[in-house]
Amino acid sequence: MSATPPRAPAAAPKDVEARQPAPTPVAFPPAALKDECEAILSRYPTRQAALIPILLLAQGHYDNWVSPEVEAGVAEYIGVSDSHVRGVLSFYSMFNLKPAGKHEVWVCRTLTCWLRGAAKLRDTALEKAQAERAGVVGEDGKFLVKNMECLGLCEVAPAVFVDGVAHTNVTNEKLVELMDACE
Amino acid sequence: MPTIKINGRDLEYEPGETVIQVAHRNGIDVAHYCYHPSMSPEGNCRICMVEVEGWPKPVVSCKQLCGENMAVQTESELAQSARAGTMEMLLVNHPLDCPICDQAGECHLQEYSYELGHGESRSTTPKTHLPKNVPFGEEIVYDAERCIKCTLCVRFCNEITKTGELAMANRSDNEQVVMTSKGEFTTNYSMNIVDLCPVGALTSRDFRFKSRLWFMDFTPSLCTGCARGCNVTIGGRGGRFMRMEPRENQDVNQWWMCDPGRLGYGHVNSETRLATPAVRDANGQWQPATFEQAIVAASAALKDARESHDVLLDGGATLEELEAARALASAMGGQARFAAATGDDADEFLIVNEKGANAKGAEMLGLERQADAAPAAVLVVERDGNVPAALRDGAGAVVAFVTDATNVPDSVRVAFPYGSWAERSGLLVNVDGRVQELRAARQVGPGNLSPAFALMEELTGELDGNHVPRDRGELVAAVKNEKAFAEVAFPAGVAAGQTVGAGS
Repeated sequence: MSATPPRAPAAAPKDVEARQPAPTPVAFPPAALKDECEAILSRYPTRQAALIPILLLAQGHYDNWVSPEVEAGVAEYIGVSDSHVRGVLSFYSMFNLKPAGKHEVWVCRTLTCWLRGAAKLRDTALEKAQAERAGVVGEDGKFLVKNMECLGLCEVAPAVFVDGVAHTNVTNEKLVELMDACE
Repeated sequence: MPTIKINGRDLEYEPGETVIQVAHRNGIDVAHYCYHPSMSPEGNCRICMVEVEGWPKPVVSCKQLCGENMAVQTESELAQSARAGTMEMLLVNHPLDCPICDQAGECHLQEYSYELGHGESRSTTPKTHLPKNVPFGEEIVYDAERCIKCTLCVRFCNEITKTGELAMANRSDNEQVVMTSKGEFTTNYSMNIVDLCPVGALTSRDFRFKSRLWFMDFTPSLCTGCARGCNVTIGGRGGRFMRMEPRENQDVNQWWMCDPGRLGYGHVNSETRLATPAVRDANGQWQPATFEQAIVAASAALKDARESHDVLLDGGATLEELEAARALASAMGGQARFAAATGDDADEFLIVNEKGANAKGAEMLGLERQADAAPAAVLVVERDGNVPAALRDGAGAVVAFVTDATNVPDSVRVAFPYGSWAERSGLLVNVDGRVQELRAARQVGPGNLSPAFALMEELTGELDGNHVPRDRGELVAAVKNEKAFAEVAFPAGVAAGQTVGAGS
């Protein structure tokens, strides 16, 4: 005897995409990050408030990208659902949800930089990286070129970040130089 | 109390109330998608914008607090153009696939688009393509292209069930709802997000593609999955139970209902429903009969019954049926009892362990609850769970009122079709002692059913020459006269002389 009333059989799921198997969460934090994570948590009133700094820390630790396994591990550590973590990760463009290149080139695509020739810079960067489009790692896996929203350097546009370092008034030649300098 | 002027009317408000709350309370329609009275206002759909006189820009009425001397116009030129602009924006990436969308007919986007939208899009950019058939748990399918990102479903999981399975991911025109990678809801209330969704982005896998809404008939009634008595609307079409949705009642279920209750209608659409009375002939074979023939055969069978003179009822039987059964039992010299399932799935929200939808009413009428098999002459069975096979077979009954023909025990000689809860009208007492009205849904069930209470009254008349069969109003009056019901409020509208019971 069942306590709940009988259920009507659900329609055959042929029209619905197959569900992806749930990732196995990594054990987070790894020993190397433990102290730092706890220091971050102690700075915030709630665990949820520490999500972004902890994700940045995790991304740095796991080859510059956040895999579904790391995402699930951080979600368990913080105590929120992994869909919430996915929401944060996919909102902020400094997080990589796919394996990233060895070096990252961010080209600003907001108004001022765009008017000052950022489109050309991006094309140069993509050509140099041998990448099909922004957000995709180049063939040799060396560069990841990303379109970014305003980097806050409008007065010295166009602006480019290479591995987190800002460069201003960038020209095509300067960008090639910067990328050549990357190992 | 302070007042605010809306469309020229002076309306009172409590400090802290928003403009849309005051407008809705006073019957002023303000369009809205992302606003729901149960949740924190988000103000992201922008369709509820109204003009405040003297203010330079329109404001979202779902977040705008009322203030003294504010004069609001909901239908001014500015308000209308703000809404029309919002509609155009919302439709930029919406596929407008209404002809194949389940929501068509009850879609707010469709309604306002018809009212405010343009016949053609001015956008020349191709629409964004997003995932269209994403499973959210077992019962829900998500279409990100139809979604207008109102976040009602996300807030429902965060604020009402507090389980947080859903979240918004990505940005701008790639924004979509994502589910936790576990892929299952941990709440029993997930399907409420299908009702909440103002567009066709969330559809119920149980109902999608089954019927256009305008071919269905809707009846306000109750859910009888447990003793909470959630208020619902039942949709039927051509004898099939199509779907059930919660109906607002702040005293019982607010706006919600549980998934097991919503999907617990399998027995209504069973292929083995008993549709006409049946009588066993001399060879023990079932023969279809008219109600008159069956009444005669049943009274003969009951007069012959030796073993027991009791009546055993399903815990979902209405007060009218219980009262008629008491009279029938006393005419035979026995007593009426009831049986109902007890679950262990109660939560702090709606689901209760008591599964007999009218168990409280039966107890108030003084009926004993039966747990183990015991002899009875008459059986009334709707749900397997309430009157399980052990009780049915152990009763040795000769007359049975059953919903499903497979539930007729071998000992029975006369079987009457018994409507499921969706096909019966009557009164139920919920777990808190509140009397609510069950209404037979149109276009559900085999049809042509005589109400069970009327049949039992006729049987009583056959057995006891002095008994004049009572109609529904008289049965309700008899219940009202019971001591236990002296202080209880009854719903208005169940008039004396009313005999209507079965629908269709």
